[in-house]
Amino acid sequence: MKLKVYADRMSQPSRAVIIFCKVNVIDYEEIKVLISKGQHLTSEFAEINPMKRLPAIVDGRFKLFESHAILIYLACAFPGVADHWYPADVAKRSRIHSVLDWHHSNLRRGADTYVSNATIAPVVGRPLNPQAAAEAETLLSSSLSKLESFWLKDAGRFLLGGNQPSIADLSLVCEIMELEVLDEKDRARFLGPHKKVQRWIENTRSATNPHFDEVHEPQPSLLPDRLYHCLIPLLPSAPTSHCQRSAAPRRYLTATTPIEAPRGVLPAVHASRSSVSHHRFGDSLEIISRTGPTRASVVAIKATTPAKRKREDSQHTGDNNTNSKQSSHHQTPK
Amino acid sequence: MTLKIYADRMSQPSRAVIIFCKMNGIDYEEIKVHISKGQHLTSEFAEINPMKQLPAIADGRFKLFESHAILIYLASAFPGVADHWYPADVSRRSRIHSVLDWHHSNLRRGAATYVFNTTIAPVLGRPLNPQAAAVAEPILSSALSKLESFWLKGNGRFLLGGNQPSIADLSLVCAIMQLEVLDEKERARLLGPHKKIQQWIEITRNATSPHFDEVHKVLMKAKEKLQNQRLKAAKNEEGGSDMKKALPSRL
Repeated sequence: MKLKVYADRMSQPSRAVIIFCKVNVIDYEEIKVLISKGQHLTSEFAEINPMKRLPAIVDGRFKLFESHAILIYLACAFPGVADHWYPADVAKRSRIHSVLDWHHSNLRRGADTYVSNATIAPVVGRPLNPQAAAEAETLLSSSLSKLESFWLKDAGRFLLGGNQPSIADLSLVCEIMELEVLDEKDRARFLGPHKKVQRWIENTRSATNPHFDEVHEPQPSLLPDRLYHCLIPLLPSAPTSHCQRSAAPRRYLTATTPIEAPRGVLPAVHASRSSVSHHRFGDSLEIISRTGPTRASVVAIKATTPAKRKREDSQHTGDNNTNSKQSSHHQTPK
Repeated sequence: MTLKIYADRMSQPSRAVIIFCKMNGIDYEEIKVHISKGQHLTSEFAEINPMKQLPAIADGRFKLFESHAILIYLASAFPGVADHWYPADVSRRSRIHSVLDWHHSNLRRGAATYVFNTTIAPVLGRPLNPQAAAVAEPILSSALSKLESFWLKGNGRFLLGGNQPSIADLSLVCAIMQLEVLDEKERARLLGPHKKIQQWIEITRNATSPHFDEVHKVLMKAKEKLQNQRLKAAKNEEGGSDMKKALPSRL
């Protein structure tokens, strides 16, 4: 039974998990659970994740939620995932745990709370909260400073001095991408001072493209009208006639593109939507399976009473060699 | 060179790391960094942890902060740590990651913020903040409910149906222990409905005895001090109202 990834691409941690699967050619089904439509609050979805949050995965009988736990599980349980994503070396791995833990209460909390209370809340039926936004702003600013001065201080292109991306880069960059929905000036104010952060976002994007761009593309057909119109200005070429098209080709941030330049966002992957089926959790759709250019397939599932499944052992035995205790004697790490 | 642990036993995650070391016979030097004296804010300590938070460790030249990362590192790098603390099995390990991640934004956030803003802040030279406490309380209540109904469901004695403690049990129980400093009624209101949680705290305490109690002494002293202050304040109030009753008879 194929790995199932329950996700909403508007959710930062959902994107990190999907990009990881695509880059590592992990075969999966994406089951879209739309937060803006409250689909994560259904009793159906609570069977998958009682915390009613995204992303969540189901691998055979094994269910898991919390994106960092999921990324680590995928890195360990699926073959062929390169070591740099989640190194076997205890010290390197610990540093990744450290930044992922720091992320919860700092960048994640700051960015998500600020964007939510300054911009997105009305889309999901909540009022804007300027006070919460003000508090979150301080946290966000401080987190970006810490990224610039500490997590990116070493010579590498990625976090913690790495020359190749890890799950931490994916998680944190997807979080920062949320700032794309902010007003131009607001975003420039936050990111403008941080050149390393900007370069690192571009490095991570390059290292994971074309999947990064594809996963970050807004999908108008799945968006409620309010959010779609909010995002229209960000689309390089939206399909409807009333949208504004930018004259200059839009590119994402590069190290040579100062933040003050016209904001290049999310180059679109055109015309591929029609070849992909999307499953909306709770909708009744026929079973369709398409295999795209990667081995990942997006499957629409008829949401009637599921047929009873055979009990089967998990298909994926953990690659325990990378997880077993590293030493029979204590080694002080380098 | 011996492992160094920078800790303040008033800090919940510091306690988890120290108890873990004691339970597993890990040789370490405890370097006390007093939050109440602002010692975590010095430039000296920033050399150890630029985030200026506790706990942090230095193992030779290797420095690390964030208690979950530390617990995992210790479980992996030191010999003789039993598997149940941080199992090698990928699925079991993932579930531990899941509850540890959930903890950050739920139990930890709710409990620490609530206790700080109703009780502990003055000890650290900051004012109480009833508004922040009011925001934290539903987070705490909901986290406790989720612990009771989900993380402790099934027949195990510990989180995730385990029959032996893991690093997750240590981390979360130490976080809940911070509620000890609350007013008795408050604590009863928050924990009273949750029988499984109460049992689990006791089971974890027994499983890590005598270290659990020893490491929690500092917190218990703070609890006693705060209780005495409350009693005193209550008596002063009573005394004041007795005087008011006496006065009219003198006039």
